[in-house]
Amino acid sequence: MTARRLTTGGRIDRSLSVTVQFDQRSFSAHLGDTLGSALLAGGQQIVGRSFKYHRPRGLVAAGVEETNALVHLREGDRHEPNAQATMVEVFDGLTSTPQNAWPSLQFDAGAVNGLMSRFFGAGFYYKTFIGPFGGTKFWMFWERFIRKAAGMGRGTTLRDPDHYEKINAFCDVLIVGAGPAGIAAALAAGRRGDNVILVEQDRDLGGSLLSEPAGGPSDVWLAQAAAELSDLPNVRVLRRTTAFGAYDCEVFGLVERVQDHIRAPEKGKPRQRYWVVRTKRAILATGAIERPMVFADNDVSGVMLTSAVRTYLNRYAVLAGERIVVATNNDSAYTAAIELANSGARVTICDLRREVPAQLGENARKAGIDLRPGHAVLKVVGGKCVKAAYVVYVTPEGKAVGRSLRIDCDLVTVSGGWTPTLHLWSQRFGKPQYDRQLDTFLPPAERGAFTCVGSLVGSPSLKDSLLQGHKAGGGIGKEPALLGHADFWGRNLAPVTVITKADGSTPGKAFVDFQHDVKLADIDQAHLEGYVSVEHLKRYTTSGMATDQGKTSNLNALARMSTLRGMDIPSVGTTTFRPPYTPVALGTLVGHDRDRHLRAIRLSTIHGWHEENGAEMIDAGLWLRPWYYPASGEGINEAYIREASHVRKHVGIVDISTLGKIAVQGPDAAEFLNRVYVNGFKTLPTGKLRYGIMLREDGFVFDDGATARLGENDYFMSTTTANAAKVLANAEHLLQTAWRDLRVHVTSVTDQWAAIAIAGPKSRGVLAALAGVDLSNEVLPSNHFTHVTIAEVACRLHRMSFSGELAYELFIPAKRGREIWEALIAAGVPYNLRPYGLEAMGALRIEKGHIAGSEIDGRTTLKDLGLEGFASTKKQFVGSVLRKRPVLEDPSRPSLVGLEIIGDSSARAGSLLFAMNAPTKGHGEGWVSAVTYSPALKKNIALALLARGPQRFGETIQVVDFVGNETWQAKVVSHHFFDPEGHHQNG
Amino acid sequence: MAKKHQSPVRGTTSDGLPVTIREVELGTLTQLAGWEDFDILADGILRKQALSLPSDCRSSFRRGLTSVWRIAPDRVLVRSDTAMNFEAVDEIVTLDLSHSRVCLRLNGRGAASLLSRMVALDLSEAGFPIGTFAQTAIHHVSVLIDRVGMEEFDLCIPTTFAVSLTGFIAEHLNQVA
Repeated sequence: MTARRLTTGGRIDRSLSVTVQFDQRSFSAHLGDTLGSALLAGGQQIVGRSFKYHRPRGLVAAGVEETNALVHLREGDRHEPNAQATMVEVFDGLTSTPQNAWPSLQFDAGAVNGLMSRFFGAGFYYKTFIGPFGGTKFWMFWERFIRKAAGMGRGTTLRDPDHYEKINAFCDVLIVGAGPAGIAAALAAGRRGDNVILVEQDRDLGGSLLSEPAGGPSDVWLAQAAAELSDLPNVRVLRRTTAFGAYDCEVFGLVERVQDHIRAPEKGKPRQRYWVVRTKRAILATGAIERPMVFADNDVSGVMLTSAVRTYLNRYAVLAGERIVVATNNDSAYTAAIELANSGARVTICDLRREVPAQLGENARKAGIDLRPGHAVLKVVGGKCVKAAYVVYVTPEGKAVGRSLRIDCDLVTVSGGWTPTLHLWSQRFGKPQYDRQLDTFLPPAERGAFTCVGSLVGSPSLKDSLLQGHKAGGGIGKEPALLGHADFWGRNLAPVTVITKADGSTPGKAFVDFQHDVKLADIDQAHLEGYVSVEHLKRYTTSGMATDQGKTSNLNALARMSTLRGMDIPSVGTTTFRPPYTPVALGTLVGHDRDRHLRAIRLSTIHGWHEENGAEMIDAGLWLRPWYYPASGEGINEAYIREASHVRKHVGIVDISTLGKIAVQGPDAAEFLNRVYVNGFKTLPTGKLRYGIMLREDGFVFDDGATARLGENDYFMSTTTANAAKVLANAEHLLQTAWRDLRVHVTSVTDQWAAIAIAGPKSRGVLAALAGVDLSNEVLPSNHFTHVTIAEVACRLHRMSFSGELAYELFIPAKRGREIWEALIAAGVPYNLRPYGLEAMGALRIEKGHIAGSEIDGRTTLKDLGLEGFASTKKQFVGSVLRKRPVLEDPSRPSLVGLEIIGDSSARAGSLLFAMNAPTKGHGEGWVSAVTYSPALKKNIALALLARGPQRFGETIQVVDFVGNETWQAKVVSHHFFDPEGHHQNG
Repeated sequence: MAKKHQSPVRGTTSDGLPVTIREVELGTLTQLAGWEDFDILADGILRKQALSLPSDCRSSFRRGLTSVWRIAPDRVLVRSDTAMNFEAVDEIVTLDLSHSRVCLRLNGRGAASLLSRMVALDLSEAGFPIGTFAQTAIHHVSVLIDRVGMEEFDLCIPTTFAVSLTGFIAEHLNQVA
């Protein structure tokens, strides 16, 4: 291939030259070039190595369908793999490197694979590496080498320095594709006053018109249309934007490459923007992609799509070859061939049709073209670039007849018909219909809110495309008038793209899918092995599964399959397309949902104090909670033991704002509570609160908490932190479905109330002094609440203990939470009050034997947890029937026990339990749910679920942590380790 | 770790449009809820405060600094600058939610554009005129949006998510000192 830049023509800005790098070579380019056109103009013949066989490959296309020119872009933290050189706009300093080649692009050691290609056919990896020596070990060993050898780009693990953003948009009409049909639609819709979004993946509007010779009548029309569009305030034109996904309800995903065309994004600009567009209707004007032809060595550098060669000629002023063979089965290649000839190339047309339209033939001959009807290219000659082509007379089925003729050439262009770009339509609606005349699949012109126009529906002329677009847009204003070429590809198309010898074989590797190195022989092999489903064929051969998603390969693979099966293409079927149409950077989809904004974080209104006072924080669902407050030099263990000991001896406060809180209101609130809790709530008097347990319908424990009766029809329910949302959702579900007769409203008030637990023998003193009220047992016994005013803030004080100590829970209007916390800290000084964190809170509750989330894990019943006595026998409640299933009544089920760990080290939660002399295999007889060091008992303890637990008090068992490979011994005891009589909490 | 932003936050969207984010007083937020005959009963209660029940969940009734938003067929929220004493009526329950949300005010030419980066709502003048109210989500967190001016939106966000969401919204701006 001897490509060169022409001295005139093109749509490049010759006044602005830039230098780009590829494979450590510098190339001169002009603004308006792509990296692909710059490489072609600079004579770069090899742009990449193929996926499997590492064959040297050159440019095939000029746009989004490019299969070979996948390159690494940029360096360092902006490094990006798998960029299509044909879609990369040049800028000064652009650096790019080849991928999938070692040690160099010119000499690639991986090319040795090609020598063994006969063994690397379809299914090679499955057959060779999976299963031959037992299990997947063999594959696991080889996988790393295979992946290294196979070729896509290499990503970077460096942090992406750029930012991306998402945006939502709404419109009346979304038009995808700003070629002639799309522009005509946008003009008409815009004139009608519709809110229009016109999307174009290119930098420039025009689509196929940009491949026309510069300065022609289409340029005049384009300029006028672009000007009118920019004057319409209701039309938004998104250039450099790809519509990659079409979803239900007319939702589209777009990616706008906002700053990819410059070296680095400007300050404050996103690199890319992810648009989610909701439209009332969509007009798809996505055009069509030329179809390659399949013959021996059709992947040698210098075999290109005819339309691409025309684009390079007219848009980028690059003549891709001097001696050109144009292989075609349709009319559309003639315009390109004539223009190439007029540009100085020596052109031969091999048209496998025996009858060529007279006017085209005459025009070709006038341009000095050697026209060979009934001929096709059988084989290309050349290693790293095309040197010659063997052309041969062929039957209408594409089989060679007689001897082939060698024609020396440096470029072979192919045109096997066109494939409408129906990806978006297919994503939305599934399989399209096959059109016999056009030998391709077409979407219908209208379906639902979608209208398809232009080449997408096989429009026969530019004039038709424009009128279709105009009509789809609403038909307002002057009809667009622009004449095109009389070279419609579908007029006399010969539906043959595979050229073989008379026996049906090819004299060399003939590729169907360039990007995944799928050969004609691979399709044949899959057929021989019995693959009849097109979906299976696709996956077995990997045809159409690369980053290009089969844009150029799908139809040729289907054509071969239909030939092999003796069926027509529609009988063989087709696959459906899924998003994305082109690869989308993950960063674009992520947008701002990263780093500290990966997810929303929930903070209590006291959080600032915790931070300012050195608390170590821990995630608890979406919440950040104080884990412990380390004194100087303390670690977690020293800190929580100190904090828990302090609570037992003095008084501590802990932020429990994270508790779920639900207002239950209405005339039937008591009945509602009576149904959701296992214990009775109808008799709960105002001013009291009661601990309650909920079951799921299947009888397992769901949640627990205390509910206070604030008024006749007004209750305040608390839930565990973890289950707050689930409990509320379940309550709403019941009220809106099963219990519509109940007049009850449930409302989350978790954010309305901050909450602080004050625990320890001195807690009463602190609160009484601060609130100035009598909190004696007589005035405020356990499970009662009272209203208090602290620092002029009206609060509610519940007498409730989770720690086993004399304790209170103070509920404060949330925005005053920190004030009250600080007031407690100040008032607590004489009482030696200290804050404590989640870890100490856990230690205290384990000592007391209170259950929490680690025991309510979805596997435990009331009986398992020793709570069966709570269940009322006088009423029905959620779960009351299914909890009585025999399997849940089995006396050998694991039940809650305490464990005293023998020795100085702590066991680990999740460890499994085994009898002393039992083999430590399988799931054991139970598990450890929570562990701590008990400051009160001065030993390591645990809560556990053990088979027949309560019958085994005093037994020594094995506690095995298979993950950490450790075993302890433990004595089984009651889970009420601390103060089982409740003297402390009732004190 | 969430980062607390100093209010107000000033900046521009990536389109260069200015926005100011400022926390403003929410005032009092009261929920009225009921069952059958909710519309009649609630409207009666509201009318005694010279307010009215919005007909749907996207429009608000506004009088002075008081707004009424319908958040469900049988629930309304009343935001007011002072506490309101609603008449006690059988079959209507009231609930003070004043501490459950904080109010962020987005102001400036880029306010709608900034919001459109986070919520899937048509915030154009035609699609979301002044007085429109919506319950939606930002970053998966429930948010109430009230368009109070051509270039001004009030966002009522859950109190415990306020720091995180303010940071998330501010992250979408090129902030200026």
